[in-house]
Amino acid sequence: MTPDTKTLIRVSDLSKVYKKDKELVHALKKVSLELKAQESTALVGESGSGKSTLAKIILGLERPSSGAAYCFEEELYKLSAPQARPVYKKVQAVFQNPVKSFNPRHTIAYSFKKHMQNLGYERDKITERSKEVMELCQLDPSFLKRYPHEVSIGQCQRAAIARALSTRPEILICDEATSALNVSVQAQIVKLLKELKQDCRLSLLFISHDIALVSEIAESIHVMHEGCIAESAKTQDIISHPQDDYTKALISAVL
Amino acid sequence: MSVLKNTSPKLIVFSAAVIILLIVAALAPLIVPHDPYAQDLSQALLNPNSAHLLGTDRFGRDIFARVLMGAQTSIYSTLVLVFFTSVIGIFVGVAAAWFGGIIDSLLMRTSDVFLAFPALIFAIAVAAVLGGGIQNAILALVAISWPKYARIARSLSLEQKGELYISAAKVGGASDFQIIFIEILPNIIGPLLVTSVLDIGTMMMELAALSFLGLGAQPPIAEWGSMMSDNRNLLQIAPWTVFGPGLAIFICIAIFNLFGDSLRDRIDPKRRKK
Ligand SMILES: Nc1ncnc2c1ncn2[C@@H]1O[C@H](COP(=O)(O)OP(=O)(O)OP(=O)(O)O)[C@@H](O)[C@H]1O
Ligand SMILES: [Mg+2]
Repeated sequence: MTPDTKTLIRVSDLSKVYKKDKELVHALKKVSLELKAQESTALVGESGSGKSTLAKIILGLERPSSGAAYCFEEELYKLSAPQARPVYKKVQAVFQNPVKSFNPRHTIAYSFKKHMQNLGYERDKITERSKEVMELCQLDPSFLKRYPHEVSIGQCQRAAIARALSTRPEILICDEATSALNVSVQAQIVKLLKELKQDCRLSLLFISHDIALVSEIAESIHVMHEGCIAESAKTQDIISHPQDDYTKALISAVL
Repeated sequence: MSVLKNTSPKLIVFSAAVIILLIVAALAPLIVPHDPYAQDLSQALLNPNSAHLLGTDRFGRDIFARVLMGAQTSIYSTLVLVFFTSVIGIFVGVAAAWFGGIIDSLLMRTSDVFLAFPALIFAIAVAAVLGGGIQNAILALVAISWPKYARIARSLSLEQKGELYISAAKVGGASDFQIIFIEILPNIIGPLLVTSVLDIGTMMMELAALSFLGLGAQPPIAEWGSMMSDNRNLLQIAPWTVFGPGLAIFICIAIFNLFGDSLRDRIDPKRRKK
């Protein structure tokens, strides 16, 4: 690790409690982690372990109950839309359901345009950049004219990745970005993300319940269990010498 | 022509009927066979005949001409009324859903208060305070009718609020204004449009009712409600004086409702079953 690698995301003692019909759900319990520049980290854990909640708080889509999540030294949920834009230019997200992450009433091109306009991309270069990122994600630029339900789900996820990368972010948070896809498409998307990570000098925060998939793409892994981080380590170490019982169970389930 | 591909023949027929109605109403002053305001007591209370298709009233004014002129007042006033009612209601509803918290409670409690009043009684009270006149009647009805739209718009927006594309838009730097108008509104406008078209009939009745009570259009302006009111004590000796405007209201409401129904089948087929 070079001394000038800066910390892009810093989560400290983050807790989140949801109120559901008067019952309290402790989705996150004092979670801490860091993501450094050009590093790829994965969050792994079973359904309900709090992975999405963590991603949403980092992205400012939910507010924390206590503790803090800093993204480029900013707590996004506290910022107004104009204040948050410089940060969103640098941190982007891809979600689980690609078709639903586009507005059904807008063409893909229109969604791209609004995204880039808001994040301060030069207006006269938006059309050109849209085509460029489509090609970067190995999609035919003519798909830009279509509505999200008019492309296949795998193509739609590529378009979602293209939209996220259009403003050249430094971090890409992928929340189960491949879970809605079938196995072969899943492999293609993982391959694409690996290439983009290299070519675009991206840091990835890759969220998945599939530890085998994650070990292909991430250098380090945080295993989440019931709202806590059970174990954090380099990918090889976690796979070969899991320390925590829950991690062992996760790995033996795959192998 | 791709727009017409999924359009039912019913919808085409009723859209055409609505368009004709709007054109006739707009051109009324040019196509009336007689001056609707010219009085001629020698011609008073004539039976319907070839010169006066729907007869004349007690001032000798041609009923058919007055019904045509009335179309302009009644139809366009109703459209203005429905437009403002739905725009205000929709805006309040979407804002309440999007901002949530106390803004939501405040807006929705206010709408509850308005919903608690019987619509026409409230409108009568407001129109009575503001004085007669078609503008005041519209104002009174807008004031009492928006909460219905606010409720519908709010519940439709709440369904959209949790959708992933809203999160994507936020991460894409969209402001509250953009999320309301660019993201949510296009997804909820269909059913709301249908609701407003189906409301045209009801609103037309309410407006005519206020005019009938003397709180809407003031004489001598030709308006269907006030025409019926003016002539109501002639019902037994000259029934055509009431029959003309009554028939006009009936036809008009029927056309707008049929149009609304076929529009709903096109835009919002799910609701058809209900
Ligand atoms: N809006 C909410 N209201 C109430 N409870 C919630 C809400 N969102 C999440 N939860 C609860 O918080 C816990 C963590 O949810 P979260 O979505 O973060 O899990 P996850 O690890 O992403 O699961 P998955 O793999 O299924 O996506 C769950 O128990 C869930 O039921
Ligand atoms: Mg999740």
